[in-house]
Amino acid sequence: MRVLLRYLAAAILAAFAAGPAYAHAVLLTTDPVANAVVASAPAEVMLGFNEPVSLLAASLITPGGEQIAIDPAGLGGEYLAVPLPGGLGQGTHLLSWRVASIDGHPVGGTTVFSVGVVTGGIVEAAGHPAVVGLLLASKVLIYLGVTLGIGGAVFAVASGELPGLAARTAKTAAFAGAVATPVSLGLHGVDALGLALTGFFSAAAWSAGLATSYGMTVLALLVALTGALMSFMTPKKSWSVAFAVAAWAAAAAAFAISGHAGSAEPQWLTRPAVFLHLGGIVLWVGALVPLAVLLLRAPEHAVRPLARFSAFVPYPVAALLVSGLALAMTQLGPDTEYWFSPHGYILAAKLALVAVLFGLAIWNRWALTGPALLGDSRAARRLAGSIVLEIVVVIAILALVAGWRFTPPPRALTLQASVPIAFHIHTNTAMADVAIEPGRVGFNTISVYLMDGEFAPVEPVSVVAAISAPDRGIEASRFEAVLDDDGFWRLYDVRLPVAADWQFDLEIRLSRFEMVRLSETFTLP
Amino acid sequence: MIRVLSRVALAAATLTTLAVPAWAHATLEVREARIGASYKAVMNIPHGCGKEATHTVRIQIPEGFFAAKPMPKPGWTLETVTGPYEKTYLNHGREVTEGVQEIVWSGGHLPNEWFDQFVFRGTFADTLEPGPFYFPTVQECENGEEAWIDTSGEHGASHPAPKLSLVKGDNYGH
Repeated sequence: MRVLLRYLAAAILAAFAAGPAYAHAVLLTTDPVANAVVASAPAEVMLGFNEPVSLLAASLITPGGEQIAIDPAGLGGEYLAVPLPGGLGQGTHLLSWRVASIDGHPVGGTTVFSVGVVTGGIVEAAGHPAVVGLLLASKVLIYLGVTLGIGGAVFAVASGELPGLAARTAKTAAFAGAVATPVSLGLHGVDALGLALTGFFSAAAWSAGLATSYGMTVLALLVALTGALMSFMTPKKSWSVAFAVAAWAAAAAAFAISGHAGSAEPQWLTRPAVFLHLGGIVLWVGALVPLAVLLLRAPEHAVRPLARFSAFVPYPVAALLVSGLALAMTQLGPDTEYWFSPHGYILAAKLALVAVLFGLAIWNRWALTGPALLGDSRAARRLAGSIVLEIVVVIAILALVAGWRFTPPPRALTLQASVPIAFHIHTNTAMADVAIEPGRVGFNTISVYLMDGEFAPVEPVSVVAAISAPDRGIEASRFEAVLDDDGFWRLYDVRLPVAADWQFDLEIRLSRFEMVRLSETFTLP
Repeated sequence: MIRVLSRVALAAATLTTLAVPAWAHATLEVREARIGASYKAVMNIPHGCGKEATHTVRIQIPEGFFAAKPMPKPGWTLETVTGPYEKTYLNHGREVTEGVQEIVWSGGHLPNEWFDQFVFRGTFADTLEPGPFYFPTVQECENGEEAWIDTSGEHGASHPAPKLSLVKGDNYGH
């Protein structure tokens, strides 16, 4: 009781005594200074105020968008040394703080600093290297299984015979692809969840993998690759043909179901295009290994298959070219600025390899096939060598294409960029049209057009914006807007570090004694 | 029981004393005035801009507070900005159509550690409605200002304009 009374007296005294002397806390200095880029992660951030304050809450938002709470206990005074967690990575960090001055009035703010490099916001979470590597490898195995395995099966039923080495190659490729297919599903889930390689054994990864459109692709691929193996094993010719054709169709369909290309708009164009593209590749590439083996080992048996191949191959190649052109156009999108992206670079490299491939194919067709068919053994050997080279180029192309899994196509980048956030704030005294571009996590430019209540333009003295994310505990950052020649007030390099509901407060100083405040909440996707 | 009560008392006392930031903002000494009556305004300037000393205090005299007269202050240069009123007011039977619209005390030196008061008087027109009446006030310092001009009336506004409540009353003049 006595203790309580003493507290009571102390509290009243403190309040009365302190009241007159203190006002709102004002942040005067920070160390590192605001927006500084420091070489190594600091152990603490020093905040200097005009008067003693106590820290109520603080949190650090990392470049990855993770929010780490900082224990505010025991921090007080004119200078606050806010301790930071250890092991901070490179990139831009935000320290959100809230302090109370002795008059009890809380004041908050956000201090920005970068370690090593300035990053706009969340760095796209890069997958674990081992996961990415294995996923790439599994994709390449699947592609080889489809092209060499299923293509080999189709060649076998079409030509009626397959030399032993070519048959073994096709079966091995189909089998390896069939094993790699389910493995890639698990890896796909691990990558989607951003797990380490050990996550491969978690149920979550597999259900995540199955939940994506890739799950259907995997089922179709398993059907296709099993069909190819069945086609080799069935003694009955008619069954063998049925299995091979079914395998070919299932494989082409599998890639149309999922992936960047199959999901692009307009789907009436892209899905058939993917089907034709894959179908064409299987027919063409599948013939290469058997032809090379035949030409090297038994040139006399190669004549009939080679003649049929060279008569037939223009059709799948034409389908391949037309569908490839259509897909490249839709994937690149209209905005050439975004062509210079990893996706675009892979496409450029692929096209270069395709040009080499076509060069070889044309040489084969015009210079070598004719003499080889007439029994010129030198031409036959050259043709075989050239076909082996073709196979190598094809494998390189398939490895490149597997990399597309990790790069968003330019059309997606264009799409993302073309939807800025825009809203209108309306009050009796003032209105504002606000546009936030690109409206994504990272750096944004905010344009504000101001009008009075009657839609007439106004000419304020200054415009200040405070941007906070109360739900995420991110205190306000204040930005002074600049008036551009086009009559818009703009806030440049506004860093919005996380996807959240952001509070946007405009303080418009109309004249020395007049001020209007406009507020709105917007959602950053 | 006693313990609970005393705890409640402690909490209440702490809250009430802390919740009145009487001196944190620029405020008027007298927070109520009668419509149609004269009023002596005493403006409290509690601190500087951050840590800086105040060298100029500007107070806007809004429409409806007519015949305003500032009180000179030793060490400060006094100026007024005058202009026509929107309405015509009666001052002791005489029509008043123009007058002081802004009072400026400049060239002073009021350190952040000290506080001071700035005084003016005038009359609230009898055509005013009961409710809040604001005297937007700006402190100017070497590298900044404190603009007490927020008339939104929002609780927790960081820089509210000094405010008083107008109440109905007999027009007893003076």
